[in-house]
Amino acid sequence: MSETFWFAVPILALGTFALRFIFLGYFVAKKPSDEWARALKYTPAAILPALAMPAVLFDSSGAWQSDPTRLVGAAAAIAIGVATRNVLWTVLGGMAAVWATTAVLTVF
Amino acid sequence: MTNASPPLVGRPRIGWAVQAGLIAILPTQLFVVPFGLVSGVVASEIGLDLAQTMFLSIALFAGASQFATMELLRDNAPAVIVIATGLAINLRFIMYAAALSPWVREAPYSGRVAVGYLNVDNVFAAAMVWYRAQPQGTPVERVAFHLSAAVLTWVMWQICTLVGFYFGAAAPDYLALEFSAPIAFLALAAPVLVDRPSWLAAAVATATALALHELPFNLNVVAGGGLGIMAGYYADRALEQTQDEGAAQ
Repeated sequence: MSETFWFAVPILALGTFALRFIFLGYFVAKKPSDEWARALKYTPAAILPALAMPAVLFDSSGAWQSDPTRLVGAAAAIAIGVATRNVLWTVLGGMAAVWATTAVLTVF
Repeated sequence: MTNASPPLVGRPRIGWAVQAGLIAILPTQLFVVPFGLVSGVVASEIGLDLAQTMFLSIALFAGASQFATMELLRDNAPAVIVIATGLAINLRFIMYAAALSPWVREAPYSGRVAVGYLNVDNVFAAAMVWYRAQPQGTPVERVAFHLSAAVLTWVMWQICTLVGFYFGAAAPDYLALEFSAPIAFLALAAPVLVDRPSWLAAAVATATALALHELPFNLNVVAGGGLGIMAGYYADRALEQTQDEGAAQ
């Protein structure tokens, strides 16, 4: 793992910095072309759910999620996110739902 | 929240911008902290040493890709997959930079380098809100706002990663700290799911990522992201064409 780490991570870090800097450095005066901009606009909307939902709906062994606290927490996060469109409230609400469900299940 | 006194003509109000940045970013530390702690915990669990953990955290400074990288390393993925997956996850930063660039175009080069390196989701979002609310601000002030918010986030992130790395084993299970990562990703998606193409992109990406979840090396995320972006792109074009036709009538 160590060799892979010290080979891959520095390259990934440099590549990430390049992504972050392209339009702030040499190309600061350029905008991406309209068509690229149209596609790039949907990057967060696509990647973030693609990252989150498998972790919510499947547990670490690949089977369907059986832990109700996670399902409730994610459902709460989605509901609050759509209602408030506020990152902070969504995180707080989602985690609060997880803890509340855990507490309820511990008692019963 | 901001100084009420009128600006001194010609002199950049750095202090005002720095203060505004710190105040704007302070609430977001409520998820930076658990996210950082979990990052440190996971690093120690998968067997990274302190140097690797802090290098990952400092050089990459991007929570989502750090988590994906750690998972892939734990699964002995080849370096090429680690790099490709991390870059796919970090593609959104190119969009953030394009959005920031008109606001900070005239700022000094070194300032833009710092903004680039330190640009993370919560800082970017706070900066865009503030820039639009303060259109009379100068590029230097905008850089100052961004950097003050970003440096605070960076410091908190590194400290929490360290703490998580050393004390993570002691964290109680019922806090479900490791679940703060998916929750944070959902939360970061919430502000952008505002129109039908965005929802379509999210739906297609989610369906793909779930359907392909048995693929190794987080390939389902890359595939989902790619198909989701394409879906959003085509829906966006279709929507624009419909609007053009409607306007022409």
